Amino acid sequence: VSTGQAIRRAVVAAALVSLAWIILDWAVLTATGPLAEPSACKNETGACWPFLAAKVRLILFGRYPFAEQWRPAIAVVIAGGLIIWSMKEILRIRTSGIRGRALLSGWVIGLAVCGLLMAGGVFGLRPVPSETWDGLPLTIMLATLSSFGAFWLALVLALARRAKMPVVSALSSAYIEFIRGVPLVGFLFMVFVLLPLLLPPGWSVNSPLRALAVLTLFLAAYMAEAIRGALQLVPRGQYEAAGVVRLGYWKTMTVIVLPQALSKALPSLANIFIAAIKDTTVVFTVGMFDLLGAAESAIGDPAWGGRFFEIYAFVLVIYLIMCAGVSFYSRALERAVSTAP
Amino acid sequence: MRLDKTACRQIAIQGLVIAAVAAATLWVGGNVAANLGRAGIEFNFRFLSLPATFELGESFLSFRSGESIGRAFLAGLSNTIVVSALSIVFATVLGVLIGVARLSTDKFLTCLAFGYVEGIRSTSLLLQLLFWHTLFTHALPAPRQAGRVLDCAVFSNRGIFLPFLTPWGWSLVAGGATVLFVTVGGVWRYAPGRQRMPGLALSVGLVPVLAIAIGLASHDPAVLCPRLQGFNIAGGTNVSTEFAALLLALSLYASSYISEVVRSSIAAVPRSQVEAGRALGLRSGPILWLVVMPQALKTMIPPMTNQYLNVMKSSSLAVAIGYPDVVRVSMITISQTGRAIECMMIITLVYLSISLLIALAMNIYNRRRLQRSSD
Repeated sequence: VSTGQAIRRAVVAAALVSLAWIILDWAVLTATGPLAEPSACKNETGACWPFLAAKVRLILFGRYPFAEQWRPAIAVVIAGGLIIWSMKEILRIRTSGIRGRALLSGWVIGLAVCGLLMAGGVFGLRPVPSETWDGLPLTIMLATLSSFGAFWLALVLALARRAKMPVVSALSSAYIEFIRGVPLVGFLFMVFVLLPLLLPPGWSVNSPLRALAVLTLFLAAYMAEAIRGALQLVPRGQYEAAGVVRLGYWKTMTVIVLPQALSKALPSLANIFIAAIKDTTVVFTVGMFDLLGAAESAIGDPAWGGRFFEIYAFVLVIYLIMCAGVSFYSRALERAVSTAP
Repeated sequence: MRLDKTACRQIAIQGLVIAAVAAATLWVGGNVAANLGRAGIEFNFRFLSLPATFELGESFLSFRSGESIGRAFLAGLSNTIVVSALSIVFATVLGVLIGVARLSTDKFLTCLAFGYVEGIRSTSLLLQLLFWHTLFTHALPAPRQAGRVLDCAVFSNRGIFLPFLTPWGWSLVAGGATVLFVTVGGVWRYAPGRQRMPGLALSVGLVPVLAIAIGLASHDPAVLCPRLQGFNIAGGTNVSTEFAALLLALSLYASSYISEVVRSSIAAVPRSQVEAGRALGLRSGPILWLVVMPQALKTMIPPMTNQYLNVMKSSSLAVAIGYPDVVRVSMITISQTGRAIECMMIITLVYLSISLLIALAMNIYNRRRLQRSSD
């Protein structure tokens, strides 16, 4: 270690330690504990955790009826379990293969249970309209379902773009380039503003579904490019070999080409899933209450003296856990895909 | 010509696709026509010349209520372009530094840079944007109690006021830049190799000092400090909290992605290049900037273009904090005139053409660089 390096290290370490000290001081030392009386915050300079404690259910579940919020809580746990299970299953793609049928039935049953829990109306559960499915459940639902839907659309788009049919490939290219050329916010506004004009009078789509459609259509273009990139990596010989044994187009694709291409595309698809989690926040700009939207509605409450740091810290940690988790997973996936035979 | 089975099938499929697209277009077009007819709206762009009845708050191309809506769109476009361009510059500088730090031999520095990149990338840009905006508007004091630095920079929730050049100051800067350009060019062109470096250092060091000395000696002030006048602040330049939040959020967010581009491009340069540089007795700084970086540029340019496009598109998140970019202008226009289709077409056109322009510029740069390296 040279002198310059040592000095640099000392400076950076000092900066880091003081930053850590400021955070510790704010969050713990001068903070008001979450169980304290709200009035106790007035005297302290640090974090006011009673503020977060009072708002935490608003942030997590938004306008979902307060007494029924155990239902979205269970739904979030089920969805989280399904996602983690699927991620584990996908890691086995190059070793023992994905148990597709088990996975599919798990998702169908799990989603049905989640849907029943959220919507109610059966088994004596109070019916809750889907417009009030806010907060974390909305974020997870939008991110997961849009990624799932976008994957299949992307598969079609990628194959269409590479097809030897000029009309089909031109249409697919035009769609992909259009979506990649406009910002998500612009596309979201486009759909929310123009949809009533495009549909016959009397038809309407509620906002969660509209947002889901927007995210699906948007992510599909990016996933299609990831899949197309992976398709280009499949050697020509594979196609030629399939041609020699007289496999048709669909057989060639589903049995020979796609399994190889998709396993190569998986790490970038995982990265697009991270982007999907982060991108769901834009629905806040059309007045929906996803995790960020619900948090924004809790911020700056004059009754709490316009505090906001506590809320942002909480939401930041939730997004960090979700995205860093998938990011860590995507690196594991990269290893699993590249090392196995 | 005989058609085989595959060709027949391909033609049939394409025919079906065309028919489906045409049917969908007709159906949607019919709906649009019926809906517009019922609302009594015609499709045309004449509304752009009507006077606007709204203010934009701030814009780099001046705009006031009463000027045409088309001008409002241009003002919004100027806001989009300025904030994107500045963010791209800051993000590139920061991203290159962090990308280089990620590959440093100093483990400590590497970990720090890694933490920064992961932390920034794991939260959404919109969240960061709202955080900075809330921080600037809530945590900064009102103009009356504004925080000051050297009594010349004022930080308040009405904006950040910084000292700024007067016309006299601008002429000094322009003059200094011209002199600098001429001397640097002259030294580079005519000085013999050994005197180049000292000559360059002398002119780069001396010209700004001279310019500052003239500025200090003259009676007219070259730089004005912002001053409190009545309830507001005059003089100097004003950076709105929205602009500052957007610039900060975009620059930090993009820098984390750009640093990854830089890191992977540098890692792709063969290790033997570094070893060759070392064998010639170069130190690590010149090896990085003169040997490795020029080669890394080749792989860096396409992904970098993508990042620049992302910055430009992400700047539309400005609507969430009320910065009047082109998307916000069109949202205001839609709410006032009901011209949804026209406004959406304008947005699409604006972003698609800026995307194409950036892609084109990067392509030209790439081709020039390739030509130069093959000479």
